[in-house]
Amino acid sequence: MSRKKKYRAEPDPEPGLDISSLIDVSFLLLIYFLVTTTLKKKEVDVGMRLPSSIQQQGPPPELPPLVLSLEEDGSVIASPNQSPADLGKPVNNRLPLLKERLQEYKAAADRARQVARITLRASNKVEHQKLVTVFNEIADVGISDVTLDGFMGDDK
Amino acid sequence: MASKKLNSANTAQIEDMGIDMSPMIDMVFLLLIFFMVASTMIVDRKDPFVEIPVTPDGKDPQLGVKKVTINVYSKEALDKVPELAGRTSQFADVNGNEITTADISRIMREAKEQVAGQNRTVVLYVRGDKDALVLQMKQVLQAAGAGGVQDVIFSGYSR
Repeated sequence: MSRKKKYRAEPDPEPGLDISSLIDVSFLLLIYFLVTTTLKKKEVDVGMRLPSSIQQQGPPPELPPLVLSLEEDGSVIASPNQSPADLGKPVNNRLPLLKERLQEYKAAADRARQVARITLRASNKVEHQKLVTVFNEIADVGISDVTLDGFMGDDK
Repeated sequence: MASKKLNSANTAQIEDMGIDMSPMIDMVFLLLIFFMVASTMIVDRKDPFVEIPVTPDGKDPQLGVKKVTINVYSKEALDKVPELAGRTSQFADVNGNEITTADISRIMREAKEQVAGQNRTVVLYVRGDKDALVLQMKQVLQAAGAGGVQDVIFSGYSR
């Protein structure tokens, strides 16, 4: 009897999918998006209407507009011609005293079923940030009819 | 002393150990798909030389209106930014081109003609630098009013 060794083929290795290139591409894309994505600051709107667009309907309003004066140093004065009330300067882009005053005025206008109107006299030398801070408080209270007083020829 | 059999069994176990990559691949794909979906290809036409003011209570941008953007630079920006050197006007259109108040009125009139009959209103969108003066804002508002546009939106950062 021959002692011939029987040939046995080596078992096939387990079939598998090489996913390393897939991971490479995935990481490449991920890093691309991570690098190119920029977190932008969100811009928001503060809307108002100029006086010429505010149409008078019905009888003239009984409630006079609230007159505000924005001074050169940024302080806001309410009713500067009658009984001036200093509402302070902006702190962290907010004017809490002005907001209180506006809320009172808006409530009065709502009770009288009239449109709340603001007349704002802003000094020409004030920075835009301070003007927008006032508009921000006005818009937040829900008043959109604003008359910006003192246009051309006023170098105050 | 461990037997040979035990030793060989332990060695085989160690050789079989490996890190399971599948959760990592899952996460990578998840992030990849998130960025692919969340990314929007927009043409950013916000003038980088205008540092707009902060408006903590500003509302989300209004849709459905035709916004006409006017950029207002500060005097400091005109002096310091090389790209703005030589400009005499502090106003620019949406593409950053120098314009005058007469141009603003013309742009407004053209925008109104474009939306005529479309039930859309034209809104002046002022991107004013926080250090620009109220005088310039008044000039823009007056020019827009002369062009027939009374609705105004001031742009600001929410924080």
